Amino acid sequence: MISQSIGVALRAVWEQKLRSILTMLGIIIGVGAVITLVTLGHGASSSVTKNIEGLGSNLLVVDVGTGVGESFGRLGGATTVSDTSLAPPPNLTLNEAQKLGNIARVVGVAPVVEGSGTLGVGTTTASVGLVGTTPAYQNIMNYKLQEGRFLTPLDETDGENVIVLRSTEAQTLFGAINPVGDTVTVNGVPFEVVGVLANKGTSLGQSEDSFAAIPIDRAESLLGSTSLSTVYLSAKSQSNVTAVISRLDQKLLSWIGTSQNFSVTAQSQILSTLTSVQNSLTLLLAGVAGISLIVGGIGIMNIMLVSVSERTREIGIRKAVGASRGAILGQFLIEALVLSGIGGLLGVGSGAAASVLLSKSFGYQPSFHTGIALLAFAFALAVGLVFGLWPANRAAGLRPVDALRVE
Amino acid sequence: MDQFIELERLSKSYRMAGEELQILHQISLSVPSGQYLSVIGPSGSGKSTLMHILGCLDVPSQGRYVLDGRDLTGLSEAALSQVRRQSIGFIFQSFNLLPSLNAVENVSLPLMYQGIPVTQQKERAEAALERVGLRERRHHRPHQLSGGQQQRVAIARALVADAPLILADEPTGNLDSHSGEEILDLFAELNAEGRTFLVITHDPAVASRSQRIVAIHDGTVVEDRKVTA
Repeated sequence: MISQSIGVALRAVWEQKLRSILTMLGIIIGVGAVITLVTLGHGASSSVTKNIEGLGSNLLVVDVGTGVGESFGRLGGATTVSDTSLAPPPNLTLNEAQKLGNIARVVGVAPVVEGSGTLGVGTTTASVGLVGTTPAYQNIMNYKLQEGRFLTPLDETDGENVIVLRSTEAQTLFGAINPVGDTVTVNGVPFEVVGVLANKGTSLGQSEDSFAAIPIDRAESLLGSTSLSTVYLSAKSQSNVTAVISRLDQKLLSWIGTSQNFSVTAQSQILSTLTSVQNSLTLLLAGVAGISLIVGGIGIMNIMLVSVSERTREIGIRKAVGASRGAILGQFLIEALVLSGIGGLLGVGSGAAASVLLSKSFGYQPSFHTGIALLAFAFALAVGLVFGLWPANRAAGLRPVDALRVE
Repeated sequence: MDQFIELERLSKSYRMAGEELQILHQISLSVPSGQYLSVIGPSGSGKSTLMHILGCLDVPSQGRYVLDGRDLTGLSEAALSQVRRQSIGFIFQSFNLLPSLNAVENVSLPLMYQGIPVTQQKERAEAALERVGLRERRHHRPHQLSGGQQQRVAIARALVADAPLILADEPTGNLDSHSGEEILDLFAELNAEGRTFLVITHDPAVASRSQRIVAIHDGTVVEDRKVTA
């Protein structure tokens, strides 16, 4: 009898095709939106996660400057501290920076002197952030070489003007030619190109800012600055990060005096912060989409109430030939479930299609989550059940004699 | 002969706009099994209300209703729907077929609500349609049938579950006299097979086909006589 009731319900839905489609639309949009938004949310987080992991999840960034420790959530450290006018500016010497490498479980230290520079080859120029640093920078920042070599310890001692470009600038300045061995001017001073770094791909934060790396002492003389703004360190493994941070804090506090003028950030902290932001954003969007499901449910309830009053006579006839209260209740509930179920299936279909298309256009890994689809579908059914209950109960509660009297 | 229907001082009243409206006054009536009875009366006399109570579509305010030895007074809605399912077949003036279902499906409805398997439903519904002479029109929908044919489908629906009591409310009211005669002929045949018939009508010609006529006026029985053939 259940299968027969489903047949009856399908028929009722089919006989009012336009009305049924319009009723289902709310559920279709709701389910589709939940699936699409959750999938895109996942896609966005995993793409961000991948990018940040590309920077190195063991990476720690020490920023030094007035008021640096007050601002929170800086991504990386290439942003220069502008507020240096206040005296006395906090400072970290190269020697002190290198000493940070003696902290247990720190495996690499790359102090950085930063400034802006203009690269020139003939008449072609490119503005870059000039990074004066040490050979350790490449490994700490996870850069891969495309051509030549990175800075070496020898470059620090022999005082040669050598520069490592990034793939983008190398192309701007030299076109398709391998620039290694060629000369480029940096703020007018000639430097020999010794290597080209591969691009990392799109990412958050500074890593994609255009930059060129030169030995730290060259940068100091070129920029006329001896103050280190940033020190990059890498911990032995991600599990050591927290311990290293507290050791760094202690040491820097003893040198600089106030924690307001330095900050220690771990890439992994940024990662977890970002992930949790992404997750709550995804949840929020799914919640909004879920509300549209509930609105869809109200649409079903509305149409079912109309249907009950239109079919009062039918209900009377069915009761006269022996339908029990339960049978009528079941009939209308099944009808509501058929509406929400078909709507849910169409929603899953359109959600999956939209997820794949949008993921592709955003450049995310298209990932369709069966769990989310099932959950959204089950939620649609539950909505149909809950919002179908009242109209169905109203139909079932009609007194047969009253129902038959209706024309 | 044992009494199939027994009504004891049955009353029905409604409250309408704060006023008590007495429809049936202390009606007592006994109908033996297999009798073909007509209830006549002008509109507003309460005969339709009487049929609704006899058909378990409504409940009396006072009094007792015993059907086939079972006291139905005070039964729950669920129990009453079971009585309708098993013991009563309805025939209405306006046929009351479901327009979206074809003849077989309409006739199958009482069997569906009895939980009988689909294949058996179909067999029995077709047999019932054959009985009323509509086998070849079994896949037609109500709007494709004439009034007389629709009423015969309704009769098949009343027969299909082997209900011992058939209640008919103005069964020929919407039919031309020829179709009406055919329906009444069918009633006579079915009554001869042992079913109890109770026909509500205001048409003396319809009433004259039955074995006994009960006249109701203002909610009370004013006449109860045997029809002499």
